[in-house]
Amino acid sequence: MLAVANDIDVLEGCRSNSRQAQRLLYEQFYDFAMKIAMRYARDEMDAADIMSHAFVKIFKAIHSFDPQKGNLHGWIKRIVVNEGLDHIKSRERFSENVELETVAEPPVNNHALEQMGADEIMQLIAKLPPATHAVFVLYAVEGYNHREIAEKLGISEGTSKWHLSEARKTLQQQLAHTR
Amino acid sequence: MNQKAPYELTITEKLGQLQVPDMRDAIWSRIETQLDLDMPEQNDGPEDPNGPDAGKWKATAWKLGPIAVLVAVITIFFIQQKSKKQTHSTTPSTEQTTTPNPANNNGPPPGNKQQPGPLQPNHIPVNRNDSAFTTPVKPILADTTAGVHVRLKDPEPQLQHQVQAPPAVSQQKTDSTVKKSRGVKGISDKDYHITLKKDSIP
Repeated sequence: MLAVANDIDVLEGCRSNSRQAQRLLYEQFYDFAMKIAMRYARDEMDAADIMSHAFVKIFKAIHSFDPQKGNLHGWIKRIVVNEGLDHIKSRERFSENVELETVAEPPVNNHALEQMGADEIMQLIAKLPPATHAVFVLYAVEGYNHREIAEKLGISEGTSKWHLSEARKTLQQQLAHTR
Repeated sequence: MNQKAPYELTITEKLGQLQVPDMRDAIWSRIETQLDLDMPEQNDGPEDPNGPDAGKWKATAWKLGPIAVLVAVITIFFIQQKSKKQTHSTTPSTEQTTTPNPANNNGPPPGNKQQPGPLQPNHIPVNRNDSAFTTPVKPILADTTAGVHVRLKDPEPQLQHQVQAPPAVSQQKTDSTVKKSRGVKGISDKDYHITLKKDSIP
């Protein structure tokens, strides 16, 4: 593991297109970005695709990042999340389905979830349909609301709510099977 | 930020504990390959500071620059020559100024291409005192009835090829009463007829 360099020097080096600086930044944010990428991936290969595309975008757009306007973690996270969503969209076009005004709240067995490992939960989420997967991760994990999700995915709020309801139903059914 | 349900909090916590696969080198090699294609790294060492490709581009620019200039000059030259030829072919009656005529002492010098009247500036004006022309050329645009008539029998050798055009035009004019739109608007075939006066013949 390379030593963590001074952030400002690394940023300047990345802006100068220095491979050494880019490698340092990549190593520094690998774990952070990989965890995000895995939420939107079906498996490790998908996650690797998301990571490689995301970091290429990061290095191409590094000159537009202003440290005084935001922190680097948040900026990188946004790029990785967007790349993850693009990856999901490439598998399936997000279409308008049934719209919901209110979200159904099927009970999800939290006790069962607590007994499961992170890998198992990851696999449960990855089995969701692409659009449902994206909405669930954005809502339940990333903390976006339905309006923000609708803007990101180009769907309506009602559709976003419908997908969240579907995700909860599916997870509950799968948790019931694993008991 | 929306309020999370208990199970969502559990999921978030568990995903935070997720073991990240060690694919650093494999992923970096893909990133580096793509960056080398999209954003080649510039070397700052003793080599070409702008990179090997920059030197190649400079050499190419040095080679292509003079060639491009030369091509442009030649193209402009040919275009000018072509435009001059077109002017000669469209206004055959106006090309006599280039022919020196020792008998002409009263008129403007042969090299003088000035001609009164509303002729187009790019037309070569008629030398009024040339032996082939005895009457002053009236403004073609203004008066289509009176013109100068060329006598085909005594053309200057240099003018022969130029004088050949008017007869064809005049013949066409006599053959058909219907005018076809050609040449300069406002100019009819009658304008190309040039008559020689007796006084002008040496």
